[in-house]
Amino acid sequence: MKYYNTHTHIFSAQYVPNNVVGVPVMRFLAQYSVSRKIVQYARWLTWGKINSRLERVAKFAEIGLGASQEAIFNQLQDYYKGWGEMRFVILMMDMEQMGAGLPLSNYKTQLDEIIRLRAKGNYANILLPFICIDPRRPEFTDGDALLNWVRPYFEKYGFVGIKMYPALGYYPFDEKLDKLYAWAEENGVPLLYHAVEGVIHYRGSLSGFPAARYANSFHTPGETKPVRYQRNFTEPENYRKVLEMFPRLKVCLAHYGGDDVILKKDRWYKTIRELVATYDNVYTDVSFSLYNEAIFETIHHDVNDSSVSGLGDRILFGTDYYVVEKNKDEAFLRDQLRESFKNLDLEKGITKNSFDRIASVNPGRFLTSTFYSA
Amino acid sequence: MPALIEVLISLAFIFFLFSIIVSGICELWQMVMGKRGRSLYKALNDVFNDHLNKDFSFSLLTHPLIDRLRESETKYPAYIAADTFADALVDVVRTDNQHPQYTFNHAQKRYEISQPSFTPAPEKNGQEVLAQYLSATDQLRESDLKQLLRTFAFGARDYDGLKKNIITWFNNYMGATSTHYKKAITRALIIIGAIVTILFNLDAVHLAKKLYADKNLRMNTVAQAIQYATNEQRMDSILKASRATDRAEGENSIETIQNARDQASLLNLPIGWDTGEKRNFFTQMLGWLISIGAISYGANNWFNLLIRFLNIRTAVKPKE
Repeated sequence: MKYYNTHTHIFSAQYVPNNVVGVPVMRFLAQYSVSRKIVQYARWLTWGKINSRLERVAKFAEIGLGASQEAIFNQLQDYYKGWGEMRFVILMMDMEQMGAGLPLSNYKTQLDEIIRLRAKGNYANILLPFICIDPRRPEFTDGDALLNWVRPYFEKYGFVGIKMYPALGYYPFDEKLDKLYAWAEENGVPLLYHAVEGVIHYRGSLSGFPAARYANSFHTPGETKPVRYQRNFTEPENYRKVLEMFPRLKVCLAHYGGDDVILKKDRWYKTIRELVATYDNVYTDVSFSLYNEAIFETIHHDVNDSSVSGLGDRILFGTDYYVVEKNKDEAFLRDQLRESFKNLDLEKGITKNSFDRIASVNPGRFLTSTFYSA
Repeated sequence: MPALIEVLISLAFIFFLFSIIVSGICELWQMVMGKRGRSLYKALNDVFNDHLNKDFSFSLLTHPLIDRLRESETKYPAYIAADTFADALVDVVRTDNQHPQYTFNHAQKRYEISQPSFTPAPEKNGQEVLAQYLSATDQLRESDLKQLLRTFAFGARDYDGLKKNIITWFNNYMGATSTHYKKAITRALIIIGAIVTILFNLDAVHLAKKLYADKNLRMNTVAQAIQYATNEQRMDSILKASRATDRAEGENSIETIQNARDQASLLNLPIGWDTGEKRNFFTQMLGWLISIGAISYGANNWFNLLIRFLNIRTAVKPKE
């Protein structure tokens, strides 16, 4: 059986702008072998306190400081050695327009690195890249220009899906994206939206920010702090608008709203469930949120909840490697959810393996398109 | 007259020993911090990281010709030979606009990859590589880097001509950047020199006075200097270790620092903080400043001066 981790990152620190929280520190650590040693010793010093905060941050920095995407990917692969046929969805990140300065190496370098990496050995079949699209890139003068830029990555370079990170400063219903959505809908190309608030968000000036194409009652355009303004971009109601225009669009609203939201069964959680029930191609994943094992029971319940149409078929396993390393080790996420689901299946007399559904069956359906078959 | 020369010999020898300590610490610091490699990477990044196109410095660094020069994947090579650089650059540029192409075979559920062929026909090897290089350069967006890459091909009829131009440029560029690097090293030497001076309370004025006044101290120092300077093998290893570039030499440089420190302690010099003497603040400051300048001056320079002073002493003494 093929398993999929549908939400991972392998971009190294060189692709992140300096003005993103923690990046200057990481870059400083990356510069000197002595500081890298300090990071390693910080991990060693916390021996006996597994998953202590210091150890986790040190591990996160150590991975991010990897010399190349290949080095980071190889570490990820090592975690899943015993899992047989494993596939990884690699989400690229274009952070050049987020108002935090330019990264050391530009987005094209990141894309070229992945294209060349996949030609080596068997990487092409196990590393499934999602191209990150930001409609504000200067070369995307209109929807046609954007689509013409994207298509070769699918038609020639083997990309499998599209990654969108609206929190970086754009709305998912940006007009320039319409043609891309129409094309993706027609070809069954999966899109994965970052749908949770976080530390990676638009950091530029908010004055004169263009008004949203479609406003909803949850928009707060008067907000003056970027950290709070990001809600306008990530608001799940925005995706409803996209889906009203493109109802067959295959999308994953990643993170299921976040662990807090899941535990409190907050509005975002309810909206995502409602969108899943309304639209046949709406998925969600448990990436990052699954660091909090308190959500396992809720997720297991949702996978087997027949009261929400299609919900069990639309939840995906993903970990958010290596971003989640700040909170939990990949090995913990890999094993704990699987083990917990196995026990819950037994306890509740569920015959369909719930973990296999979210880590194999559902991702296979999500990823299949004109350009890829799971 | 001999007393004055002996004071100069003694001072030269003392500054020589402390220069070894300072340059040894500086080398170790550079080695631990990977300064040479970082400096080289920065120099390449300044030119080849083209935000309008792509970060060619990263492509160069990960090219097997250069990647294999790294001690570990998180370190930068401390040195790249000009012809290796030229080969890597041409290969990175000529292959830039040609990517492997992927077709998904839905029946077998596998990607089929077609790799572009960059192997030139042997009979037209040189011309074909040059043509690929020029074609790839033409496809870049107009930028400073594109202009530079274009100029590399001026007058080149084949790959050899192109490579020759790149090697010339690389050597000139490295020459210019090594000047910047040397300036940075000089700054580091002065800072380390200041720390060592203050740590040992190395007051040149006080030292000179003491050496002039204390014949035993002076004669002992001169004798040690002669013994030290005549041991050529030891001098060679000391001077080499003070220019350590790799780990093994770095270990030598620790040993050399220790030797220099041991040698200095044999001299029973009037240095340190526990002398019990009251000194004039301004004279002490002046003494410190002279010492900082002197011990940052470089062991090689002090060694040469020491030899000259010893020769003068030998020339003067018979007449006495």
